[in-house]
Amino acid sequence: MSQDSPVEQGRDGRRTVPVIEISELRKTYGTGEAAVEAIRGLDLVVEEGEFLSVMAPSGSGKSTLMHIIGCLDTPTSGRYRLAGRDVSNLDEAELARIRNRYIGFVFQQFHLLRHLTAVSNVELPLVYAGLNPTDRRVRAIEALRRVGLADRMHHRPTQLSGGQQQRVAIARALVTDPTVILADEPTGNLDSASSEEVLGWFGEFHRAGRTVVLITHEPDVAKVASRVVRMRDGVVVGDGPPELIFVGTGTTFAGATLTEQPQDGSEPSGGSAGHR
Amino acid sequence: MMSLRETLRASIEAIATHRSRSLLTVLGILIGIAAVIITVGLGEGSQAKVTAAVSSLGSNLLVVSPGSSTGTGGVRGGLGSASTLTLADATALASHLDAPDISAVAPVVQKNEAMSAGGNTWSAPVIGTTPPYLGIRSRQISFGSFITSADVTSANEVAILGTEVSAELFPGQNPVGQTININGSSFSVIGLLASAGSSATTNQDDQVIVPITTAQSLLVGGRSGTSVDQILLQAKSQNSISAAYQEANALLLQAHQITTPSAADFTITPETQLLTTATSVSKTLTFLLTGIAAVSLLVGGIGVMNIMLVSVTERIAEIGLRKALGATPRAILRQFLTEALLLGLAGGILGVVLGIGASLIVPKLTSNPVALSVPAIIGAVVVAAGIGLTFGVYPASRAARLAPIDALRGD
Ligand SMILES: Nc1ncnc2c1ncn2[C@@H]1O[C@H](COP(=O)(O)OP(=O)(O)OP(=O)(O)O)[C@@H](O)[C@H]1O
Ligand SMILES: [Mg+2]
Repeated sequence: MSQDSPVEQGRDGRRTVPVIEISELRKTYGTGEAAVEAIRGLDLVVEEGEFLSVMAPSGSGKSTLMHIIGCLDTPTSGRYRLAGRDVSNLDEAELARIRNRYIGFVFQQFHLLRHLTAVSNVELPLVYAGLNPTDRRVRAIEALRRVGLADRMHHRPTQLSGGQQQRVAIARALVTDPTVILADEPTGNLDSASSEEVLGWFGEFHRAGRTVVLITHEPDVAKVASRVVRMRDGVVVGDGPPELIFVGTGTTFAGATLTEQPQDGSEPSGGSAGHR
Repeated sequence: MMSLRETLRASIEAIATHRSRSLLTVLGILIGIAAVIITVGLGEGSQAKVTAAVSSLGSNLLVVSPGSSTGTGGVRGGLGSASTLTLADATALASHLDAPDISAVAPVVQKNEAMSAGGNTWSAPVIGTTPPYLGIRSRQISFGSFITSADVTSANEVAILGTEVSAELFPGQNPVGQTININGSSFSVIGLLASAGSSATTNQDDQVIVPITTAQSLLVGGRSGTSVDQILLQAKSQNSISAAYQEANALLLQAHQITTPSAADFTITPETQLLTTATSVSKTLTFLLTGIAAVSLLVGGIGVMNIMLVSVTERIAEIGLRKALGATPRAILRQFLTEALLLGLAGGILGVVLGIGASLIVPKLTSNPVALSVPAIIGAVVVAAGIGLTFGVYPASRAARLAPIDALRGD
């Protein structure tokens, strides 16, 4: 796998398999009267090496999308291929193995285990990958070194600042060499200095050839990516490089690639649940 | 796939992290196991005590007593004889030809008598018997000698004393060579019995033994000269007890000219039957106590389940995270089951330690013997681990079934 430069197309014009390929994705929570349609026919393709941010106001379905992309939840309907593999209908155990192999999560609340040291936290995904203790330790220390925390490896989360904790979480996301790094509001609990630092790391991983998907409601955060996807009410309403998405003010978009999601109208069950 | 060692490590980490809660969980099982060990130990101890007491009466013993065990039948006897058993019966039973499975026979007459020596007086059972009595009853002579066949033949006035009788009549002295007076006749003391303690029913040290012929002529006056109170039989071995029983029964029926066995005027009781009656009581007690201990173990197990459920709820975020990082439902199940198993095991081991400690103290306080048995201890630890595992299944499967997103939303 070439990690040196972002690749969207093969050298001889042949397309490589997209990392994420989502079409007509729907997710409905609950049933009957209480049903909430969080995602309503969403299409998204992310190529290997892309740095993508998904930006939307609160309640638009960002986390729902992140859970599905991260194989933490399954769609109600639609298709999702991860690295060429259809993962829409796998069982819990298979999804767990897919998450372990392909996804590196970074959460808003860090989600480090309090009773484990930094290095043990970073080792966790490798434990479930079945790696032996020695190799695990070596790789965990290497991952911590990459985020500049090798000297804190024996500290527990409570002995680290918020920014440092998030860096440990990033090291944990990196350690398995995942196909996608998936971050949901990674700066939500950080001050501006730490936020900048954390976003800097994502930029660095992108330059090193990794695929990063960053989910946020803040335009300032979203614009560090090389491609921004805007969502509203469970559908994509804009897609393009930040320069085009953030023309003029930072909050209203005037994207050239604005799409109106025509499928929405053609599908009878489309938005009806939401408009009732 | 997570290896067993990893699972163990994660479980130990989790247990160590929540130390006080783990301790509380363990406590229920610990108390239950300790209770089981003590009650089983007490039960086995008292059973061993009963067994020892009964077998101190003699080994492979059969007791022939006069009278029917099966109702009144025909009233036999007549001529003023108080007993249907005679010395002739004993002689017949001693025949190695007719009763090859009977190795020793001792007829016995017994009566409480007043006795004196010097200025001391005492009252104790006087047993008239023959030399085989010593072996049949598994007694020992500590000083002097036992009665001989010659003593029986010529009805010599000799006596062997139990230690208590000796202590009463000859305090601080060796009685051998002295003379005692029983019921107006004087007997020379030729031997002292070694102490045998108390059996289930009698104090075996508070008795005097004399030749059976002497007893019949001098002491049990009024009775027919040849009748005896009991005939003790010793079977060749444990396995020949029932053969010995058959032989004795046949011989006595023939000697008493009885044709229908149900009309027998004697009863033969094997020692094992005494043992069974005596132990069944202590068995019932053990059963009851063990039942109570089992209930306390059950309560301990429910405690484990309870606290494990709290633990699952409290660690929802951890479970969600582990799942997000690649833990399969089975890995989570295994982790929580291992935790429950370890808690049960710890409770079992600590319970055994407590139980052993208590079983060393209890006998000092209550004089009840406590028998510690290795199988019971191993069984207790296994049961404790099993209880942890069993009651861990529900919480563990709940943890395993948690949806990762619900679990991650936890905080
Ligand atoms: N488990 C659930 N059950 C029912 N409704 C849900 C559930 N999860 C999310 N929703 C609903 O789905 C919609 C999208 O929620 P989601 O959490 O994806 O939004 P979001 O964009 O991540 O919002 P935020 O920025 O506040 O985190 C919301 O209307 C929410 O109420
Ligand atoms: Mg969200």
